[in-house]
Amino acid sequence: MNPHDDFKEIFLAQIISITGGLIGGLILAFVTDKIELVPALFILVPGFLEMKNSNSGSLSARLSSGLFLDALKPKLKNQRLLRSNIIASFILVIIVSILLGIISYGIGYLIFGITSTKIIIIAFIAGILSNLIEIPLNVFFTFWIFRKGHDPNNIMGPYITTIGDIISFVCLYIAIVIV
Amino acid sequence: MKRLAKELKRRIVKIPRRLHHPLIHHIHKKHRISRKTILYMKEYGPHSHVVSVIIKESLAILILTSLVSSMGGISLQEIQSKLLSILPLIILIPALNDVIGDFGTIATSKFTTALFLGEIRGKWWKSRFVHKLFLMIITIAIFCAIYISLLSVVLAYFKGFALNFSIFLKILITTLLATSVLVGIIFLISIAGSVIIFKRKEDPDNYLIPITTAIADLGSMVILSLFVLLIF
Repeated sequence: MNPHDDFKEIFLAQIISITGGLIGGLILAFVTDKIELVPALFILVPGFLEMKNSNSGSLSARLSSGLFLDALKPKLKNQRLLRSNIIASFILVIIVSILLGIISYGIGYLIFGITSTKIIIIAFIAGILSNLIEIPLNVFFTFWIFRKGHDPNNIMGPYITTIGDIISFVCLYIAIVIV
Repeated sequence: MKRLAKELKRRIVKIPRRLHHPLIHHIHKKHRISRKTILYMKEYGPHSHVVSVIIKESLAILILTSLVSSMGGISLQEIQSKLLSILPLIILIPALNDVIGDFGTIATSKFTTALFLGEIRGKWWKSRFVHKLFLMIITIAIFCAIYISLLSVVLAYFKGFALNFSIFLKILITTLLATSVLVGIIFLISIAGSVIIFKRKEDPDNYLIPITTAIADLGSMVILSLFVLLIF
């Protein structure tokens, strides 16, 4: 790909990502008091966001490499490589969500004396919910961007962190309401 | 990959993953297929169990990086009361985190794709691809830092924050410094790490994207925390 196109794609994607992040920052200012109501949630949140973004980033990068090598077709059909990638990403998020919940509980218990185990259930539910929304979106957009003749590596990173943060915050909020 | 006969594909994926088999050299020479492309086939080829390969390679690093980020969350919580008094900083934290992590993902995924396609030859630090990639990323990072500072200050102003030029300047300098330093560190880790992992016949995407985003998260939180403690 032309370096000028690369620059344009990355720059535009980053501007969108930053704008989304700043909107997220504004939302954060409004919802901080609600998040504070759940013990140890502040310990879980950065790890949860990081885990979601890393997992989605790796999924998209693997799919991109597969698309460039022609090992994968940019179509939403039952392909072995696509299916396996989706299953692996789903399992990874569930395992790490539960672990993060347990660790947040552990730190909360040791440092702040929090005895409620709600945080583990919140992490588990939020992990499942965010997977159900984010993985299909991630796959769809990686393929769509590739089909449009762009390099998903340039665009998917910023897209994932912007959309991923918003989806994760929403899913955590829903999980808190459910629990 | 399409050019290879089925029998040849079957034989490649059966070769132990760390072994430099003569068949790889033969396919590379005869069919003019990059060794890196053959590595991708060995990693995710028809007879490999893709799910377990991905989980095995990603799980430990994903847990580690998520934990690192959670530690960063604790450090932010420590200065929460101070942060609440400087509204533009609260607004820019998620954006700064995102933008720095994004550059790690971009650097790793672009460099990894170039490795798989066989575009990186010889020493990576002498590669024109790497030079161009760094120049492009650092230029965009500087523009992004200016944009973040301006927009966070404007948003804070409209939310009723008492703004003055001194605060704006401090925010601009901190954002510029934090972005430049972190992008530089993350770029180095991405490229050097990709080369090391690639030499071990693994897919760098699975390891480095989580590492760079975790470093970005922790780094930006720590630098911002230091800034708040020292300057404000």
